[in-house]
Amino acid sequence: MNKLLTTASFNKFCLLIFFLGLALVSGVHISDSLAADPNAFNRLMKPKSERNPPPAKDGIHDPQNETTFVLQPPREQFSTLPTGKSGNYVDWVKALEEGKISPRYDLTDPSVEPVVMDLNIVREVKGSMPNVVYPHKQHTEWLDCSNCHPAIFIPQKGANNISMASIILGEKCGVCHGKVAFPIADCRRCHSSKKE
Amino acid sequence: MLIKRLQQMLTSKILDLNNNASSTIVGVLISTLCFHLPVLASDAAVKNKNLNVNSPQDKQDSIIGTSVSSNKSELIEKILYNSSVTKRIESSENEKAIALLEEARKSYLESAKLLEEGRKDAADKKLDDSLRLLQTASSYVTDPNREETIMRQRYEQLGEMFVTFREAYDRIEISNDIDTDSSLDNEHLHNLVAQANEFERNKNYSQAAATMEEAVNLLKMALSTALDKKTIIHEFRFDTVEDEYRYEMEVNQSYIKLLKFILDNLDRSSDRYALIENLLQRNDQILAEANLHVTSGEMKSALASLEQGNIELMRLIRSNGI
Ligand code: HEC
Ligand code: HEC
Ligand code: HEC
Repeated sequence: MNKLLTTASFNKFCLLIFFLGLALVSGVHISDSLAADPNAFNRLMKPKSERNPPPAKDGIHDPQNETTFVLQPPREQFSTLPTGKSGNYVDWVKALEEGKISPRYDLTDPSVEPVVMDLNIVREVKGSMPNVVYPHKQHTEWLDCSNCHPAIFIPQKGANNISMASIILGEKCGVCHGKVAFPIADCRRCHSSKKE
Repeated sequence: MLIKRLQQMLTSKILDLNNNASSTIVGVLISTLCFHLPVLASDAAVKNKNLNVNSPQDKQDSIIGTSVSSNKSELIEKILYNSSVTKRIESSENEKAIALLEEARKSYLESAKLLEEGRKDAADKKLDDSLRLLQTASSYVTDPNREETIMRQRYEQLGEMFVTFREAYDRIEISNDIDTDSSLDNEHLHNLVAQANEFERNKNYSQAAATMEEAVNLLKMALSTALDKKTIIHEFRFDTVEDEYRYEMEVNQSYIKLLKFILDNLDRSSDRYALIENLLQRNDQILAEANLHVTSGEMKSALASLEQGNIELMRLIRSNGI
């Protein structure tokens, strides 16, 4: 986590957070607040009716600052985007694929293009639970390799011990999923490879 | 790092106060600092250390009872009167920046007066004005030391990336997962790294970082070409029963967490609540049973109990719509 937030990748991380309609403040204390209670921070797990509140009511922006009211409310903003089944009810992957959004990849340099890598990692899961498919392609469209390597995942087979427990506790995939990316409750999106 | 430290310090205050309004305001303040004024954020972090030398009790006493604005006000006062950013502005010959700093201070003093009069909202606006003014002032006068530190850190981070990806590439090449007409120009890569090191030795960190980034990008491209449209399967197997048992134990714990999460969102009087509580209790028994097997050395039986318990927990989790 510390490495994620060194100034170099900090910018990209901020950009990502902004794009997913969340604020910087939250991004930065992810690890701290999670230590106390992993789900306290998990705003994406709120009931549907409480999701995507207007900026003045989201607990992030200052309701006493008049410029808060200049910001476009998420529900209005999201209405033109492909809908998702969870989180803030936007399918961000589709939104990007369909060109509905074109996030700038780098905060300071508008000409930077991502290095997209189309590599799938399948992690077999014991029992009847479908296997996990981790797609690099969809991630590298948003994120730089340095957002994950080597701080969260060592890019080497067998070097990472990932479990649902660690994810729920906000580690590994849970560094992002449930906070700035779709939530843990959407099991099938990760466990997408049915067994024979 | 400093920004994060600042946040930690401020959030600890927020938690002390346990006051939403203050957390929002301080939050906005922090985000202003982080986004538009990283220089100030790091200053504040350093300065704020002095605020924290008192004992936790003192700290609480000094915060409780003070208003939100005075909390923020204190921090801004420090930045305006006693920080490296103000020193930098003052010692620069940039008249525009100096004038803006004066205006920022004026705005701050007005805010302090308003606060005394109990006009919190107006005071807050003035504080925001002063921050904005300082931000503009600071943008006229860059800090060469800070730039250097950032570039040095960037260089170090890229160096680490380089090593990680170099190793990954070599491993993949050896394991023959890679197309042999490798897209990696090793000689060029080698030269880039040598150049980057040379720049670093001469303390030219920005060139060092830029050159190392070029090297890392070459590796990224090579990896993405080599692994394009590939699927790497991490099979599931254990070397010993002990390993598998340890694994099932972790799984058990994660299921308990999931179920507790479901419980938190259920009506206490509902049937489902009772069902889950019931199964959680049964799980305690299963764990105790498995433990008995372990102590008597019957690992296979221990594993079997635990596996059966986990299957039941999972069934319950799935039947709750997860
Ligand atoms: C969102 C996180 C994330 C990002 C961003 C990311 N990766 Fe990965 N990467 C992973 C995960 C997860 C694995 C699998 C780790 C495991 O299961 O042990 C992995 C594995 C790898 C591996 C190891 C393959 C093997 O031999 O098993 C390589 C190489 C790799 N990534 C390269 C890259 C490159 C190059 C980039 C940038 C173009 C990148 N990754 C971006 C998460 C990420
Ligand atoms: C550094 C942040 C980060 C990490 C770590 C991360 N993800 Fe993601 N993931 C994202 C973002 C951002 C998206 C796209 C936004 C969204 O779908 O919410 C995404 C999307 C996905 C998707 C959807 C792809 C699609 O086609 O719809 C899957 C599946 C996924 N992640 C699985 C994983 C798994 C499995 C892991 C852990 C091995 C992981 N992710 C770790 C950030 C991350
Ligand atoms: C962000 C991606 C992601 C989501 C969402 C997700 N999982 Fe997982 N899950 C994983 C990964 C990665 C593993 C580790 C696989 C391995 O062992 O290699 C895993 C492992 C598991 C396992 C194997 C045992 C364990 O606990 O590690 C089970 C069972 C499981 N998940 C159930 C679920 C259920 C139920 C949900 C929905 C509530 C869910 N998962 C949601 C990524 C995800």
